[in-house]
Parts: sequence; structure tokens; C-alpha cells
Amino acid sequence: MKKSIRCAVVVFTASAVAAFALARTSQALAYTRSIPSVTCYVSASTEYTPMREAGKPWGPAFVQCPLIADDVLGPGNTASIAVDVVSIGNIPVENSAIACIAYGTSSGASCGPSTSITKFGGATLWPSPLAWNRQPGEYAYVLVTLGAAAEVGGIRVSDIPNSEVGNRSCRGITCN
Amino acid sequence: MQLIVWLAGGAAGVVASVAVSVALGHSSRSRELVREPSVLAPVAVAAEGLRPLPSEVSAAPTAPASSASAPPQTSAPHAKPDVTRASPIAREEEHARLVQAARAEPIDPRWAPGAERSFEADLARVRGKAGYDVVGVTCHTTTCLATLEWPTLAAAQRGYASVLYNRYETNCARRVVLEPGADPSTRFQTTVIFDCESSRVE
Repeated sequence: MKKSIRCAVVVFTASAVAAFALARTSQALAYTRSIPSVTCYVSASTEYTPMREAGKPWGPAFVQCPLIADDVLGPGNTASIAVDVVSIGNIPVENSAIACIAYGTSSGASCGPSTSITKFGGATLWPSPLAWNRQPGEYAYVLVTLGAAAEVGGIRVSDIPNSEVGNRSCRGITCN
Repeated sequence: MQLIVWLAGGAAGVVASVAVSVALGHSSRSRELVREPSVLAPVAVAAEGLRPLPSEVSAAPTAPASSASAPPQTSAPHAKPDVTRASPIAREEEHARLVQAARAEPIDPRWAPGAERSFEADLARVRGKAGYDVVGVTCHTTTCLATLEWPTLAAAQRGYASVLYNRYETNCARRVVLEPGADPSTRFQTTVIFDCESSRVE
């Protein structure tokens, strides 16, 4: 009987370690949010004229896409921003993106460094979330500058960095 | 009998470890969610800059204004982050502090002159559509300041987005705050802060 109890303790410990490890792994899942381009709008505050028409691409245009923030994923804990753009013209065009914070009670804003890509077809831009992280109480958005015949596909934000997106499974949707 | 004892031991082990793991997960998630207000509050009220100043960082935990305005912190798993926003006056004061801190930075002679020329050229390029005059650009170690002047506050409100979204050869974070309550009939000056710390590291 003593031997059985000793074995039971060993099994208990082994099961505990295994189950603990499994449970922790599952809790390490990242939060990722997909924001469709229907939430974006053509910015009226810049020199481009809004050109969005049904069935036609946006570009050339400045397009603002908001971060839909909540307690789980907001400006303060966003580690990566992926902006999918599509250029459907017959030549490669430059598209760029910059992540900004608009002040809720003041006139002004701040933005991180910008990023751009010149490519035909689909591409992903990764603007820095620097400005979002530093002022998490404000309203976060991405400003996308589209070249001719280009449009925004959507935006994905995550609490894991660019380098890890795609390497880890995500809660809710697939990251890659 | 022996098998039953083993199985019972294993099952108990699994249950106990999962319970511990879940409890740990909840408490760490709670800490994560509750930590946000303590980060948010000083940022929102006192140090909401491109780069918190060392003095602000060290003062943040005890900042009375932030703790007074923040909602009570609880250990509830879904505690809401503090979304307190700085008032326009607090924002302007904070911007002025950041400008002052940038001016106090030493000048890096290897980087600053080139960065100044680069910003001057890029700002001159946007000048037409944004409607400002460049009063001056000064760069220090990791920060550049550009003083811009518009004919009126309204013109600044129309044009500042072009300054923010412009593509700069020296690719830095940028920030503009328009002073509240400025006389709308006089020329309006503001200082754009370019924080180049991250781009200088790359």
C-alpha cells in the first residue's frame, strides 16, 4: 500500500507539471484584432480629394482607419500594426502608412515614424505603434497614403511584435 | 486498488495544477489590466509626450494629479483602463515642457546639422499646401524642433495635418499641439517636436 501511495505521489507530481505546462502554453496566446477597411474613411483634412466610388479603388488618397480599442487591446498594448494594401493598377505604386494618436480634448496629434512600400498587387505595411504606446488614453488611428488605383484591405493589430506575428497561434483568428 | 490510487493521484495533480495555472493567469492578467491606469494616468495627465522625460518617469508613481484623477484600482479581472485625457491646457503645458527638455539637450555635431538641413528641405516642400512659414529648425541629440508660423489659428488647424503626415527623409516620430485660446486674429506660431530616438537607433 505504501508503495502504491508513493507511486501515486509521483504520478500526481508528473501530471501536475505536465498539466501546468500545457495550461500556461495555452494562456500565452496572443490577442490579435482584425479591423476591416469599411471602418476607414478618406481624410478631408489633406490635399487629396476624396475619390471613393462604389466598385472603384480609393487611391490616390489619404485614408484614415481607426483602432477599435477596448480593455483587451488598445493603443497602450499594441505591439504590431499590419496594414494590408492592394494596388490594382498596371504599374507598381507607392503606398505608405503612419500610426497616429489624435488628442481627445486638444487640437493636435502625434505620429510615429512612417513606413512605405512600392509594389504591384497586395502588400503589408508595418507602421510603428510608438505614438500609440506613449499616449494610450487617446484615440489611435492609422493614416494610409494610397497611390493611384490602390486601396486598403484592412488592418490587423496585435499585442505581439511583428517578428512574432505568424509564429504563434492567436486567440480568435489566425495571425499570419 | 493500486490502479485507482494512481489514477486518483494523477487526476488530482491535473486538477490542482490547472487550478493554480488559471489562478496565476487571472492574477497576471489582472495585474496587466490594472497596470494600465498607473501607466496611463501619469501619461495622460502629466507626461503624455513623445518621450517621457526622466524626471517625469521617476515622478510618475507618486504624481498626485494622476492618482487623484484615476479611477480606483481594483484587482477585478476586467478592470477598465484609465481613459482620462489631459485637458487642452495640460496638454499645452506638457508640450511646452517637452519643447523645453528638447532645447536643453546637448547638440550632436555629427548628426544635428544634417538633420536640420533635411527637415528644412522637407518642411519647405510642404509649406505651400500647409500654408506656414518656417521660422526655424534646430536639432540636438535625438530631437529636432521646428517652429512654424501660420497667418491665423484657423489656418494652423487646417494645415497641421500635412506637417504630421509628411514623409521626412529623417524619419522620426512627430507631434503638434495647437495652443488653446490663442487670439484668432493674430499670426499663430507652434513648435513641432520630432523625436528621432528610435530612428537614430536603427
